[in-house]
Amino acid sequence: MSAKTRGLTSARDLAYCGLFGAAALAFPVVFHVLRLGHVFMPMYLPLVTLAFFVRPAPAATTAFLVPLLSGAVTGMPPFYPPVAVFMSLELAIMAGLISAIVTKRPKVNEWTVLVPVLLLGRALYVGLVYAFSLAIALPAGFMAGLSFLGGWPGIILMIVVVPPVAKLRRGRPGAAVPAREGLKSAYFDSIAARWDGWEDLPALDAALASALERFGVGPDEAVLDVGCGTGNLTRAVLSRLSSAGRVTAVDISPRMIEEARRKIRDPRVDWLVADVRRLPVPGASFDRVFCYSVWPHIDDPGEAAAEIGRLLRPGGLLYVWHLSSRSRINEIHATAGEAVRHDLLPPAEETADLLRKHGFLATTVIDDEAQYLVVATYEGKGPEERMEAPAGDACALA
Amino acid sequence: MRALWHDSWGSGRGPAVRLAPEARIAAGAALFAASLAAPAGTGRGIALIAFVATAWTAACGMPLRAVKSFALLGAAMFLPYFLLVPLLTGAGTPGPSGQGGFLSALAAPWDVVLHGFAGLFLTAATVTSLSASDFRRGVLALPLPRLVTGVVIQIVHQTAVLFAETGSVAAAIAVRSGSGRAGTVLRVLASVPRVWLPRIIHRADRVSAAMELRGYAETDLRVMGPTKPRAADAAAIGAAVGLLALAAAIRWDWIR
Repeated sequence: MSAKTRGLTSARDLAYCGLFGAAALAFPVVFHVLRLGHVFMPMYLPLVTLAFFVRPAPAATTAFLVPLLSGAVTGMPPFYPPVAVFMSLELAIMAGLISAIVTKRPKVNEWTVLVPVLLLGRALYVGLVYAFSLAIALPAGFMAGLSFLGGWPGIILMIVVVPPVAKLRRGRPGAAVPAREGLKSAYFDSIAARWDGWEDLPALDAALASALERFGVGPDEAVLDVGCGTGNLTRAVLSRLSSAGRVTAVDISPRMIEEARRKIRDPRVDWLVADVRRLPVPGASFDRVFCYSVWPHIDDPGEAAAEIGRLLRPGGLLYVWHLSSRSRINEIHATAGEAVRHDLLPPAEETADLLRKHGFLATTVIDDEAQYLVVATYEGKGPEERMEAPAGDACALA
Repeated sequence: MRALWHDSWGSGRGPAVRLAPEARIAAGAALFAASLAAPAGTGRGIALIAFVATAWTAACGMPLRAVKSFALLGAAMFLPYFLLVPLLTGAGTPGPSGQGGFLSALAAPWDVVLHGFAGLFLTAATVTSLSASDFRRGVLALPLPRLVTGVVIQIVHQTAVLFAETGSVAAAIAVRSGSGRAGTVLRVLASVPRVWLPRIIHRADRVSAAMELRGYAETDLRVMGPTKPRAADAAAIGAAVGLLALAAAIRWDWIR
């Protein structure tokens, strides 16, 4: 089950919210030692930064709760006048907006998001101060003006400090990437250097070549290799392609891609560190998609099938494929690392049913002691309806 | 503030500590609302605010040291509002002797100071009646959204860890640089964008990996062990809600 289906938050989001929320409580302490707390708005800095790393709901919730928690425990900011509440509202709106924008457009420039949102937040805060001062007969213009002028050093500090830190989110599991994927990526990173040592490579190459011959991979085809690992299938496919053919090789593990690139230096390959469910590739780009030794590691196979459908040309072929039996695959995963322990391969018929629900026609279904293979033809929507690439969180390497 | 954070949790020794954690939080919240609802411009309102704040602070057994700290903090935060009086005097309506303008100008700062002090002590007293584990138990027992309870519990847990880590970083900087307190703080501040925040990000990655491995996100947050509603808890919450209703009645009477 992916974090997305579990609810609005994941362990990763909770960990980030906890630590950045704690930082937002601790950070003002350092500033208050120098009597700079009011000037530089130190509570804002970690909470605004957090918004670049987690999804909107946890970001806004954390930003809303921290001033209230700080007010309750340390008395700062005070509950009356309701500075804590005003800060909560301002921060929650800013954090929610930033996170929503960044989740929707992961590659957006941090400064272009941050500056308008900070100005909007400040305007909201000043407006709230003005309204409240008016309500309790304090000099509203004076109080609002004081709040407006007092906030600028803090805003400038955030504009200088937050974007460089927020850039760190690139190249790591992003705001929209569920936690388990980050864990899997780390797991496969950790075993990338040893992977080929566990294979009988000559035997594997022969088996792959023979299978690709049977599948009839043509010389000018565009092929997507999902979960390419160290590139063994990529190399086998390349050996069948002409100079017009090309392969896009995708994996969530940067180290696996590094290993593969070290082995294969071929201009016909595009390497991508990405999640198959959000590939930044135009629709109807491929004749064949191979999911070789990867299907059980995909957290939401339905979502992946839909995305693969988008990427395939009409009549394009998808192969869900293992060169071992299902029971053997599941046995290996059950005793492997915690990150993949629950990654079980379903019966091939189940996979075929799932593919049918996403516009595929399953033409071959094999689930025996020698191999696991589901071949399906995409018969879904036409290419004109599926040309737009989703906002993927990918790192193109070549 | 760091001292306040550490000294506050669970330092109370009053009778309220024997209530269930969720009852302490609920009663504290109701009393806080009562202190806000009561008007600071009438004798009955002032008496109610003062009674609620004093009684709850005593019931929670807030240590004298914390009382002094919060009193000083409150004075620093709220008394400056009296500096606005000259700005407000012109707006007031002077009486025959000219004192009416001054007295009416005092009303708004007085409102802020009284409510501010009361709110400060009520929230601080509630926190002193709760240890970190009480707080976790209480928050989980209250009918709050799971996202809220999860985030609050994580923040409280991580704050103690982060204070310790920040202290270690500051101590290391102080030893290596040989600078005094202000110099150390300045160096810590300078390290924020390049060291402190990236360290937090790396730590968050490690913590999330550990949480994921232990199946934290897949486990519903639950109170450890069943809690039975007790008469004392119900009485405390009932009394707090009653005071809230009284405050609302006084406010209604004052408005009319």
